[in-house]
Amino acid sequence: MIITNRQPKETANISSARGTAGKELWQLVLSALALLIILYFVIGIAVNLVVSRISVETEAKIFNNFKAAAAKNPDASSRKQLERASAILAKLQTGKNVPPLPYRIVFIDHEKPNAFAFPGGTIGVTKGLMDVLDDEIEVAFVLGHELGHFYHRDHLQGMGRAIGFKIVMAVVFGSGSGAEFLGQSFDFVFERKYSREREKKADRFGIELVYAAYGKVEGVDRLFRILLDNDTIPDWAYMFSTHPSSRERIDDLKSYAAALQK
Amino acid sequence: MEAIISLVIQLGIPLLIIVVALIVGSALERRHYRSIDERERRYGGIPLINEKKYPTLQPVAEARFVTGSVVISYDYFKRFLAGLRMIFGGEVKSYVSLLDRGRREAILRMKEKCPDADLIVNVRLETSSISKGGSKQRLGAVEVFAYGTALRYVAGER
Amino acid sequence: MLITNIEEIPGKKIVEHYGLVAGSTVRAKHVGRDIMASLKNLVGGELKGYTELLEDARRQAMDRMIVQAKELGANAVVNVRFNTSSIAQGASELYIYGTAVKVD
Repeated sequence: MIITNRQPKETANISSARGTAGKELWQLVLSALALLIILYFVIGIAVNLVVSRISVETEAKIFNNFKAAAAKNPDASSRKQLERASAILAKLQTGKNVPPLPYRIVFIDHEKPNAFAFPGGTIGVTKGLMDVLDDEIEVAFVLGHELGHFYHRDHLQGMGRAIGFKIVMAVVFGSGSGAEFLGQSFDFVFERKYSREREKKADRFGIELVYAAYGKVEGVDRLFRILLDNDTIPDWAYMFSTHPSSRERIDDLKSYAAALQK
Repeated sequence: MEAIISLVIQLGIPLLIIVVALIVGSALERRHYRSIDERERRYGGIPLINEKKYPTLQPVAEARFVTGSVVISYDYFKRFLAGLRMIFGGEVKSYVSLLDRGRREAILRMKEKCPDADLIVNVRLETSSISKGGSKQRLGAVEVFAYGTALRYVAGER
Repeated sequence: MLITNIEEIPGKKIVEHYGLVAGSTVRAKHVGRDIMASLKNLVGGELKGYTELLEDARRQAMDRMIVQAKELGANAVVNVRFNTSSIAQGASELYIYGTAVKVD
């Protein structure tokens, strides 16, 4: 038995993998992004299709029992604010294009001025919002903006898209490999741009309603001016935000109001 | 402000970890390969066979069971690449080099335990993954275990 | 290339042993196959996609071992052993090794 010690120079196993990490990285990242783009649009179209099939009546029925996280026992001043907002909402509700949902306003005990549109016709307003707005037109615009979301079905779209993306991310990146952040970056760039566009559309809807109901638009941008004064975010960061910057919204409202009044 | 914070947390930090892992990980891999190459030159003279038979031209002075093992983990960058690869399927090249390192290291450690051996017979290699748990923070590592019987001949020649 | 998993090639004489040769590959299945497999997993039975994948990977690992054996000037590999291990969730390594020999 003769043994001659011979060693393979470069193992055949490793030669295929040596120095290919860079190339593989780009190939995989680009393919993953391409896949995400396709899935992104497929989900968008699918959700749109489903939402357009859900009539306003069905929506009201499905989400009838939906209870937003409303403040339990609002104090006297909050109750007064709530009543006032409800009266304004009643005035706007009859406006053009407002979908016939059983609207109600819930009071959210939070300091930050904000308002939300929940499926089924529930509008949430924060205590902070009601505290900073005193003029009727200002409140009317915020409510009109939320009604715009109902008109565009943004609350349903947003919900459907969020669920769709969650499922796709779990299936595609289910391995917990650290690659999920590719999907996340997608959310930051595409989904937030989409969201900003929806917000602008809702703004325009709101100003139209206010103009139809009150015959004037002065003061609709008051909330944004207050927000702008307290704004600490640099302009570039709004590229990754769900809402346009206050400055952008003020400008957009101004130009749209000018077009409206003509 | 929240927008910036969530941007940094959700995008910046993973990206930073990947870049750091890429730089540090590949530097460590290069260093490991240098060390492997150097030691393989030193111990390259000991042949390995995985047969039970051995040359009987000279009497065997010593037969000893030798083992070598190493647990080696993949870095975040390799895991990132592998995670992407798992979407499309195919060869996970980033793990191939890792296992190659592990295997050569385990064999070297086995050889280092018997530097005066003339031959190691009936060599067996075993690989097992130590990545239990299944959660996102799971440990990603493999163990390579090499074992065999080292032979030293009386005359020091085979 | 003659390959056996016993220590000899029956009917031939081994004239020279060259040492260990090995081949390996790490394979991942793609997401589509994964989904199909998890559906199939509900009812059990053979996961054809995975069988094919592992077969394919094993063949590639064997090919790589043969490349090494040829590089050493061998014309047979004896005592071949397979080693399949799951490296990470969704990725398996196929490792094959044996002793490269020269036969008459």
